[in-house]
Amino acid sequence: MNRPDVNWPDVNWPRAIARWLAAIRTATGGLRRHKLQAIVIGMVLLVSTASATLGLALLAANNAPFQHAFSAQHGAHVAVTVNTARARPAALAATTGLHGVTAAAGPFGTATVPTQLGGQAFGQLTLAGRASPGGPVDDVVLSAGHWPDCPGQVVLDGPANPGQGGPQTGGTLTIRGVRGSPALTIVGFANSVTNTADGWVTPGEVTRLQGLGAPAGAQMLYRFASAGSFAQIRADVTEVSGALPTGAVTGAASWLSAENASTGNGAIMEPFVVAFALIGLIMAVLIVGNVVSGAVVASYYRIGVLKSLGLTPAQVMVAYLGRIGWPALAGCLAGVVAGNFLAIPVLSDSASVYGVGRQQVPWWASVLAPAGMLALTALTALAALGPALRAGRLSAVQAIAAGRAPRTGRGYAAHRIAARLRLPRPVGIGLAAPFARPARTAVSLAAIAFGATAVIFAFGLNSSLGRAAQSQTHSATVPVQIQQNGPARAR
Amino acid sequence: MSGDVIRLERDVIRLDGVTKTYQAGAPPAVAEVSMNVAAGEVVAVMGPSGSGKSTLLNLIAGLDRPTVGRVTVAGRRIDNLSETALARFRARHVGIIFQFFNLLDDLTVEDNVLLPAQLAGASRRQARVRAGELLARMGIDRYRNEYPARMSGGQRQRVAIARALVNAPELLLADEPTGALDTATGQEIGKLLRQLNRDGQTLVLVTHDRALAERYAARTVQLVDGQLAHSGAEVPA
Ligand SMILES: Nc1ncnc2c1ncn2[C@@H]1O[C@H](COP(=O)(O)OP(=O)(O)OP(=O)(O)O)[C@@H](O)[C@H]1O
Ligand SMILES: [Mg+2]
Repeated sequence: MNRPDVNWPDVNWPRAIARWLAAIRTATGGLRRHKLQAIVIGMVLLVSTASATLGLALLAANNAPFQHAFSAQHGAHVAVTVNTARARPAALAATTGLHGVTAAAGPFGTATVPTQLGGQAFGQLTLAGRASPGGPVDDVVLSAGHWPDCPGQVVLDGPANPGQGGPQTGGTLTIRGVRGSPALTIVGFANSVTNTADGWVTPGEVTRLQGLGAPAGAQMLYRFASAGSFAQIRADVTEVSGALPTGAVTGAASWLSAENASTGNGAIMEPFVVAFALIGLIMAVLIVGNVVSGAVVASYYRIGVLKSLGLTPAQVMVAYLGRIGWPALAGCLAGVVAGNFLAIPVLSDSASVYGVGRQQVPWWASVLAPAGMLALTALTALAALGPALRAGRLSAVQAIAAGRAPRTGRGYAAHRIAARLRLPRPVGIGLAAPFARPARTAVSLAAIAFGATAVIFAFGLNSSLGRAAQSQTHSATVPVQIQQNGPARAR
Repeated sequence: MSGDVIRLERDVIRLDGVTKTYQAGAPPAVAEVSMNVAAGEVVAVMGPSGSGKSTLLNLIAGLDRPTVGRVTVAGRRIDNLSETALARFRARHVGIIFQFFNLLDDLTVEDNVLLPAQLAGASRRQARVRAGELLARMGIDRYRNEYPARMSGGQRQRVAIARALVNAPELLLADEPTGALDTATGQEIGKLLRQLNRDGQTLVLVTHDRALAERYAARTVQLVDGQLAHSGAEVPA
């Protein structure tokens, strides 16, 4: 044969793979010449990934943080207030062995007293005497400072730094209504998921306050085998009060009321949060799918040429994913990071709305980063894979033909109708064009509709949520005051 | 047909009853075509628009598969190969030149030419050497770092020819290689192709241009409605 001698020698497989990849690199070498496309793909993925991550964060934050905190703190199903004059400590201790009781703590002495902070009335507080925050029931979480270790110190229930004018660590709480108006130093802040007390002092301090004239009382904290409904809780409380002398039990607070109170705000937000999260996720999927398939259509001609030169379907797929993939991946990663940064304030906000302490934020943030990353990478890969597979299967001849001229016949009827409407030619073409690619048009429309919904939502949510929260606060404060004053007045 | 075995070895292309139907029910684009092309031959395929010339060429190139019939190119049956095997076959054994060049506009001239060599297993360095030789032979080596969009039609077609030849394919296929060029430039490309054939290159050329066919091709094949109508004078290669 007079064929010139060009035979590329066979090489061992690592070098063969290197050459396979080198060929793909040459084929995709134009990446630098497609900066705009790369930037657009990267930005679109950044924004949609960030919103999807934020959506996931909102969904996650909404996922029963009360339940989480309740089980982490071994929250009290029932906090029973007892009159220590009628119930001897031995009798109280005996109730812990009752049939339905699975765990108990107490008795802890309590003093319910009016207070002042910085010369201003600070309301009536129930102070419980506990030597330590921990225990088998109501394992109180200390969020700032330290637990009182000598008389004259108090830890308050609530967020660590409630802001201007609120109580601060080192501040002084004046006890009114008892002889000598003693002062307590605020040494920290803690959270009890069921709000068993408004503050905690040493047991000695309670005894001292009771000696100075504070109404005497104690609390017992119980967990029961069955306490899922108000009826079950009523039965549980009846069992306890039956085991004690008549009139010993002066009040009982159930965890169900605490749950209602703490998720009250969350309950308003829940549908909005879920809607936002879903919008974010759906938009991310729609946009990614649209951008990626748009990029495939735009590169039909190129794919056809590459195939005619002998790129295998696998090579076309890799080349194509490489071209779309790098900017997409970069945008995705940046979006997950941005989404997490955006999520952190949202999460800590939501944690304080629920009033369940700070321990939520690090837990979610650490789970969210990898989970969101995985979910979205999988999502993008899926969205990109379909078109990439199609690119691999495309016939070279048809791809070249389709890439050079738009397919005829598609949307032809729409064009004819538009032409009959006597519209200016460009308007007619513009009106009819979407019908040539109905699926992509529908996807774009859906994305726009979701975006508009989100914007309207965001504006409406702010004002309506503010108003709703306001009315919640009013209705929520009333029963709390009745509960606190009730037993004192009755006896 | 006395020396069947000998012919098999000499034939670069062998079509046996090849039919291609794009849509069920529609008339075939190529109907029961049987023909051979010997090594070193130049065959021009002519015929009216829509007669199936491009389809026939795509079948020979392994860009498409026949509905019925056997296609044997460079000693391999290709009508039953998988997509991947077909792609490898194309990369190694055929070079294709198109009417509209089909260059990759975002690759330099050199990268356009060396890509098929890399696909066939050459290292980038080997491929660059070979691409340099071919660009010099086409008289366009000073454009090696330019992008094709800035070149004239004739120059682009030379790049495309260099690209088609980079793996020294057994067979060069050209679908209206002068169709997008003016007469003078078309003649230059024609001369280039004839020179390649003198150097031993087997060539199948689809063209509307009777003059081009008569001047450069030893044999002409006529297609009408997908069927072979008439073969021109056969001149031994
Ligand atoms: N991808 C395809 N799908 C359906 N029909 C096709 C396709 N490609 C070609 N055809 C039809 O097959 C027939 C032959 O087409 P082909 O392109 O081979 O003709 P041709 O001789 O190359 O024409 P021209 O001189 O105009 O290039 C035509 O009727 C054409 O409409
Ligand atoms: Mg044609």
